[in-house]
This record gives sequence, C-alpha cells and structure tokens, in this order.
Amino acid sequence: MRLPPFAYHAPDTLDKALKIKAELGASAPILAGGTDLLVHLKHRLASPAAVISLKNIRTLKGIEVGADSLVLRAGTPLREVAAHEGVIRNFPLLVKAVHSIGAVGIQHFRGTIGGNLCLTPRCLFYNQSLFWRTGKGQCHRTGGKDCLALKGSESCQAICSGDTVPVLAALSAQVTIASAGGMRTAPVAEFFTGKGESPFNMTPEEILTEIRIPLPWGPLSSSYQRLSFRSAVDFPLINAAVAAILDKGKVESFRLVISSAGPAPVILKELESAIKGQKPDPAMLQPVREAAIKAVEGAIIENASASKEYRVKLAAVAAVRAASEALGLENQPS
Amino acid sequence: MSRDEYSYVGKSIPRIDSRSKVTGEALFTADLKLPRMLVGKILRSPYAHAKILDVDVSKALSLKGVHAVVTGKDTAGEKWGVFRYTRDQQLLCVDKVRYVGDEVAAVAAVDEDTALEALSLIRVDYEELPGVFDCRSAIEPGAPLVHEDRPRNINVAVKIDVGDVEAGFKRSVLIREDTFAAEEDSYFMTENYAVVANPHADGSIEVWMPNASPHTKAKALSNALKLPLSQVNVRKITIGGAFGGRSDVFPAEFIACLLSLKSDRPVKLVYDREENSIATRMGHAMITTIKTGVDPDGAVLARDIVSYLDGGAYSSTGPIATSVPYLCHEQAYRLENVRFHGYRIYTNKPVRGMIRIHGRSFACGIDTQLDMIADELGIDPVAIRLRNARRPGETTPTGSYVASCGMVECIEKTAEASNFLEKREKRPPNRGIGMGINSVQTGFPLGIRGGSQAFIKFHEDGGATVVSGVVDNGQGNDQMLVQIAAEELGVALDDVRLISADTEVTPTDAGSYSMISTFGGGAAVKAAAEDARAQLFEVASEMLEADPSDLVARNRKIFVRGAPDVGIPIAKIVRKALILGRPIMGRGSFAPDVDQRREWISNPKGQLSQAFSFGATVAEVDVDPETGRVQALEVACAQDCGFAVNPMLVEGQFEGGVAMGGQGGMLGEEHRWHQGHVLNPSLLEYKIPIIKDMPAITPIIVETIDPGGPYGAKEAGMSVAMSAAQAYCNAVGNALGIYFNHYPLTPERILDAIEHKKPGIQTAWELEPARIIKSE
Repeated sequence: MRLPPFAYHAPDTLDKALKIKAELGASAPILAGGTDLLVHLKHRLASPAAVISLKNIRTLKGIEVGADSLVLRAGTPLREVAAHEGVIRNFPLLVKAVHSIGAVGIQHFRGTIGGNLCLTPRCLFYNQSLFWRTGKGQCHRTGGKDCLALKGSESCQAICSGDTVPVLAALSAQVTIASAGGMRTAPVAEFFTGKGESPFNMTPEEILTEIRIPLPWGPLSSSYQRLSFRSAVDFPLINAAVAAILDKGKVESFRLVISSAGPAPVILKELESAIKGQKPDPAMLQPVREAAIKAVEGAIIENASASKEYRVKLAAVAAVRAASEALGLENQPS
Repeated sequence: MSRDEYSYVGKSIPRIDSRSKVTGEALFTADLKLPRMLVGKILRSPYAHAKILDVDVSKALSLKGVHAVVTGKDTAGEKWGVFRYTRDQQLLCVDKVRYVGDEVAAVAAVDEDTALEALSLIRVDYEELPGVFDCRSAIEPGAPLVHEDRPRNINVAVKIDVGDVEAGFKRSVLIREDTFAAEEDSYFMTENYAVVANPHADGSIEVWMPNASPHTKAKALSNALKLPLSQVNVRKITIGGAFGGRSDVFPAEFIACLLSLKSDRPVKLVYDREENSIATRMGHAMITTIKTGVDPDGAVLARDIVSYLDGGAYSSTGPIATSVPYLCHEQAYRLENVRFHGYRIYTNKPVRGMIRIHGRSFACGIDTQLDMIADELGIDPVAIRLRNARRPGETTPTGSYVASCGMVECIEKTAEASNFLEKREKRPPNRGIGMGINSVQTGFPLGIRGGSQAFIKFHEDGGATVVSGVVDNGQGNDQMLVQIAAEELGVALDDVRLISADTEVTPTDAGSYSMISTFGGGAAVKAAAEDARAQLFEVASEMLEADPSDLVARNRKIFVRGAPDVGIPIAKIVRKALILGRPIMGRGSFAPDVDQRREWISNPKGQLSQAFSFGATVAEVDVDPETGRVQALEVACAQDCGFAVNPMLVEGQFEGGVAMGGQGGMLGEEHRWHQGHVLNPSLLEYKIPIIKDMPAITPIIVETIDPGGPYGAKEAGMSVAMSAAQAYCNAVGNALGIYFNHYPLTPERILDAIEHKKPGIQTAWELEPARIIKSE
C-alpha cells in the first residue's frame, strides 16, 4: 500500500517543531516511531498536508531519575525504557508492559514510549483500508455522524490499546505537553477524553514531550496483566495494571486500572478506599471482579476481534489476576 | 535398495534454494523490473451483491500517465471455471458483482500513484442487491440468487452411496448423529499474489506469477486471450507459499495480460494483503452432520454424512473441494456402508478453493465423534482408531486400491512417542491429550495433464541439465528433482542444473496441487535420468569392455561394479558420445495408474490416485479455564510418506502442517464477517500462529515403500496437516471433558463451552443438522 503525498518536516529542536505545529496544527500529525501513523496513512485514515518527524530532536529522548520522579522523554525508544536500570528497579510492571508491545522488532527499532501512550484508539470497523471502508459508509472518525460498530452511539467507542496506558495511569504518571505558548502538565488519567474521534486532551498545536512517574513513596507491589490471542504481535484484548504500596502487611495505597476496553483507561476508584488500610485478603478479589465488570460493561462494545461478552469476562480475569499478584494473593483461594 | 546404498535420495540435504532465500537474493514476481513496465491496479466492488448499471472510464483514460483501462466490455464476458460445467466467474464483471472484491475494471499507468488516481476517477453506478452470507439462508426458497441459473444457490451436489447404509445401521449397537461446523480459513502465504505480463512483437506473451501449475495457468490464459498455447509462456519464478491457494486461475493474470496487450508494454500487478485475502481464494466454511453406527467393538458398520460448504461467489474447484474431505476420510478409515451428500452453496462472499487443511469440520467431526463413541463403549481412542484404520491391500468405498498403507504404524508410533494412554489416564486438571488421523491423495485423475515428462542433457564437463514441468512453490520440489537426478546419474548435486516450471521450455506436468510432484514429476525425472544413464553405460561399456548391466554410475564416474578405482569420469564419456555421434539425451515420463473415467460428480468411482499417504497426530495441551486460552505443549506426528526423499524437508512439512492445521487451524484461524465484509483480512487480525506459541514437535517418518512411487515415495506432509486439527480439538476436549463441534476453538468458544458444559456424552453446542436437499 502506498503512502499519500505529504510534506515532511524533521526539525532538530523542539522549538522548531512547536513552531511548525503552531502553523499547521491538525494538518501535520507527529511522527515518532511511525508504527501507528504510517499504517493510518496507508489506509488513508489520514491524508495530512505534512508530517512532523521528531527523530532529530535529541531533547525528546532519554530517561532521568530525579529525587521524586522518573522522567521518560516522549521520544525514548521502547527498548531503552525496558532496559533502563531505574525503570527496572522502580517499575517492573512498566518493563513487562513494554515487552508486551507488538514484537521484538517494534520494541527494538521503532516504537517510542510517547507513541505507545498516544496510540490512536482502534476499532475493527475503522482500522481498515480505504477500499474496505468504501462499501461501509463513514463513521464519527471518518467524517460521518454515526458509529459503524454501535448504531446510534454519540461518539466513537474505539479502543485505547497501548500496553503502557494502564501501567502509567496506575502509577499516577503525569504527562508534559508543550506548545509554542508554553508547557503544561496533566495526569495520564486525564490525558484521555473518552471519545475515540478526539482521544487525547491535546490541542492540534501541542506535542507530548515527557512522561513523569512519581517514585513510589513506599514498597511498591504491582502487576501488569494483558490478555490477547497470541503471546506476541497482537494488541491486548484487555489489559490491567495494579500499583499498590504494601507496608508492614497493610495496603497503604491501591490503584487498579483496566484498559483496552473503550477509548480511555478505566480507573477503579471505588476500590481504592475500600482496600486502603486493609490487610491483603482473598476476600478482596470478589469485589475487584465485580467492580471490573461494572466498570467495563459500559465501555466495551462489539468492535474488536472478540465479542463484547468475552472481553467483559476477560476484564474481570485481568483485574483479579492483577490485584491478586500485587496483593500477594496468587496462591491463595479466592 | 536400502537407504544406506543411495548417495543422495533418503538423505537430509539442505535445499538448493535455501541460500538465496535466506540472503534475500531470491526474486519473487513483485521484484521483477522490465524496461517500460507499467503498474496495474484493479478496481473492485465495494458491495457484496450489486448490479452494474454503468462503468465510465473516460476520466481515467484521459489522466496523464494512464496507458490502458479495461472493463468487462473488453472481455466479452469471458468466464473461467476449473471444469467445463463450472465456468461461472467472469474475468471482469459485466452485469453484476457477487462479492466485496469482485473485479470491475483495471488500469495500467506509469507509476502506482497515477494508477491509484486513475482508479479513483472510474465511476461505477451500482444498484445494490440483497445478498446471502451463509449456507442455510442461501438455500432457503426465495433467497436472493448469486447466479440466476442456480436454484437455491446450489453450486455443486456430490452424492456417494456405497454398500447398504440402512442395513448397517440396523446391525449397529450404537448409533450417534452429531453436527460439526467450522468457519472460513485462509492461507496467508508470505508472498502476496502478483503477476507480471510481458507482450512481445511476435504476438506471444510471457507471464510470471506464483502458481501451483504453470501449464494450467497457460492453458486458461490461452483460452481466455484466444492465443495459441505455444504463445502464452508462463515463466519460472520464486514462489512464497501456496498451501492450495495458488492452485486456481484468477482474473488477475488475465487482467495483467489484457492491460499489457492493450498498452503494448509490460505490466506488473501486485496485490496488497487485503486483496490477497479476499480476491484469490480462501477455505470453505462448512457444516457437517455425521451419523455413525458401530458394533460392540467400535467397528463402524454404517456412516451417513451430509455436508454444506459455503463456496462464496464462484465455483473455483467446487466439485473437488466438496469431495476431498469425504475422500480423505474414506481412505483413512475402513468403511463398507457409507453415504455422502456434499453441497457447495453459493454466497456473496469471497471465492473458496483448495486448502491444505481442507474440511476442518469434516475431519474433526469424524474424529471427535469417534472419541464420543469410544467413550460410550469404554474403548480408548487409540484402540477405536486401530479397529477402524485402513490396511494395505484394501480398496476404498469408491474403489481405490490401496497398495501401501502405514496407517496403523502411524497411530501406534504417535501413541507411543506421546505416551498417549498413560497421559490420558493420569492428567493434571485442564490438561488434555488427543489424537487425529487422516489420509491424503497422491494425485487426482487430471486427464491429459495428469502425467509428467522430463528431459536431461549433458554438458561437456559432465554436468547435467534437467528439464521438468514440476513447480516448486515452497515445499522443496526443486531440491527433490535435483537429488533424484544426481542419484541416478551418479553426478554431484552441484553438477545438476534444473530448468523447471516454464511452459515454453518444460514439458507438461500435473502441477503441485494434487500432491503428486514427487510421485509423478520425480518419477519422470528418475526415468529420464535412468535413460541418460543407460546411454552413458552403452558408451562406457565399450570403453571399459564390460557389459552395461555390470556398470555403476557414482561419484562422477562410471565403473564396473566392485571396481570403483578404474572408473571413467562421466565428463569423458559425455565427450566420447559426442564424437561418436550418440549424444546423451535422457527422456522420461510418468503417468499415474488412475481411472480416467472417474469424475468428481458424474462418476465418483474407480482408482482416484495411485497412492495415498496416511498420518496421525497427537497433541497435548493445557487450557486456561478462566480465559479459554490454550497452550499447546507437545505434538507428535507421524506420516507414511512411502519413502522420504529428503527427511529434513519431510519433517519441515510435518512441522508446517502442525502449525497450519493444529496450532492455527484449530486454535485461532477464522475469518470474521460483517455481512459480506471480511473483518480480518490482515496479518494482524487473522490469527495465524507465531513461533513463540508453537509446541515442541516430534516428527516421525513412516516408510512403506509404495510400489508405484520413485524409491517408494508418495505424498509427504499433508496427512499430518490434515490430522493436526483433530488432535488439537480432541486434546482440548479431553482437558475439559467437552466434545467440541464448532471450530476453530478460539478462547471465546472454549470459554462459552466451559460455562455451558453439558452432562454426558454430547457435543458442546446444539447445531442445526445439515440435511439432504431435495431437488425441486
């Protein structure tokens, strides 16, 4: 398949990139690793006037461990994230998530951490060729007024499919977003709009520059669970992450995030207060299961390579397994 | 001769094409570049079923850089069909489109961007029609007709009735009727389909494309283009996989030729992955109802089978495809009283053809039901298979004599290698082991194209060039021919050059799609080499003053048996023969001993193939009962391939068969649909197995030395491919205590079956049976 024609910019500083972005806005998407964007272009899901590559901007690559946080610059290759000693030591679940992305080639040669967070939501009726879509009509994301997967849906329900999304949300990471006018930060959880047609809380003039993960304030106990057909290559059918602080046998904090359900990760907030302050107990898993089902039932529709019913069941399994591992309940009956 | 006495055959020798493939030097069709070559692109129907009201190509034609545009008007509605009575696919649609992807128009332009722009300038007015998307609704009276002249959308009806089925059921102590279904599957060969056509001033045209029989492609093109067969020259090219999906003729080669003749330039047409998925061929979806009656020992006394095959929009190899699952089964199992009704039904979906793992619902149905019967009778799966397994010297229900047969040995060896009975007895929770068996033909009756011929010429340095029509589409046929030639001629492998699969130069051959390449093409090369060797011996006998019958050709020399040290180099004999005016020119041929009166529909009886392969697979799996995901742990597979000309290649075929038939075919591979649209035409969403998920495989080669095959060889690999699905299916079933009857066993289906698990010995889902369709 052919790429459409477009102007190509590869600025060598962030300022230059932001200036181009300020001028061209939505007509010039960002090219990081290209694993998502190039396929979109080939499918004619986008035919932009220009593409801005970040590959020459050195300040967008690298990892720093500060006093209270670990900073991943958005253009850092996935392999560097997974191999970084600070990441391995502090956030083993992030390493696991990165190792789950695509295949070794994607992790090693192409993908970036910012790109994985900004992976555009996926839908079986959207991620198809122009030819395929010709006979189907348009949807919310391709200029139409309806959803091909769920007739009458007011917005696009495509699936946020990044492996690192639930992990970063569970770790309460912050994103830094730059524009020609300045910088701002936002929690990863608020980075997602919940609407597939405009999935990220970013203006067309903005560029994601870094992801800041607060260092755990106590002993972190965590888990990343992802379920897919094949053990590599596939996007997750569902994924879930738990980040908990376990101190002196008690859960000091607990956050469970399920993703690959709808357009945004789902944080199971009500569990946080229920589990906080308790001793890990197999009895906690049933409420986790119920909360997971409740949380995703509204988010999942028939738009993936498995049915809604099955994905809801998987969400419960992934949530329970993640909670179980993080709380050290794995070999205990639930 | 025993294996040890051979120099090359029977030995595991790396393939002659390995290096070029590993280094990327091998050129495939899409790599070809010719001077002045244009890029071709096809405009396809976006609708599953629609009338074509008008096609306006004027804007495309006037675009700069466009050299040719063709539509149905240029083809006079020319149709393709494998058989005279199944010609139903217009090479470019004239009046109506019948599936999403049907060819409507095509352009040739100076580059791909121009060609794509030209396509976007073609205006087609359609009138959408209601479509049919599954067998059951397609045969409903009053359903929309895919082809107006085919009532109830029935494309092909095969009927086989042998013995007295009703009497057999009367004698049975146990009768079961169960229904099994499988969804469509695909090949996902590494290489996407591509064609290059190059017209010449003398009126001839040369064509390159991945194929399973260059001669079949040339004949079809000659008919459609109205050119003499000698002027349509299909050339040899490296081919990236076939799996049955390159056996047929497609509109693509016809369109590429038409564009090139119209523009008087070479034209290259390369499919993208989606086109390769929807617009070549795929495997049939299938519903099979099997009624089996047995005696107290589990011997099958009667069997009655009805199959519905979802054929898609056109016939393709319909009569063959409808018959083969049944035929494989009647070869594998002894049956006296058996009836089969097979219906191939038109739907508004992509065209279905031959596939290496043909008829999953059929084969899995037979083996799953056999396990159910065994459970009811308290017999183990190995014993009931041994009770019913084919033996050598027997005749199949439709009349094929089975000269060699290692079915029993395959069952016993896989059971032993996998420790089957003990593992089935003592297994941890959610772990299971299962067995499948099957048999595959070595060749079909193909009329004038059923045989193969070969020539051999010598070079003055003692090297030889072999000329054969056999095509290698990935399985290693080239290597097989070279090993056989080197063996018979007594030269080194490096001394043998191979010219093959080029219709201008090489003689006719049956093609690689009926599993006959070694048996037929290999035998022809062997005969040609024997002929050349006899000529060498004639000349050498004078030089050595010995009787030709005492001579041996080996290590590039000819010598008297027992005296290798006083041999004469073959090069010297070749030169001497030239001086004597008796140049060495070997020729050989082979025609299989089959009943040419046998016909798939009108006369399904008589010798089908001269030889049959037999295979058994055992799989051991672990099931995650919360997600339904299956981890295959170990697989043992055995096949009677007669004689393994190259054991390493045969084992490779076994492993590929396990991947395609078992790991992919049973655990994940299916097309999903939204009306006539394939939801997963891509490598991402169609779940072919990945190496990371493959189990450890123990390949077991069984050799029965078939009396008709070269060195005793016959089909090698497909009986494993066609028994692996059953092994996986029965293993998952064994792990969970469920008899599965809807395939493939995706995690979703497995979880559904776990949640709705039924007591007793019954299938996981109640499916509506396939019944005999009464003609109106």
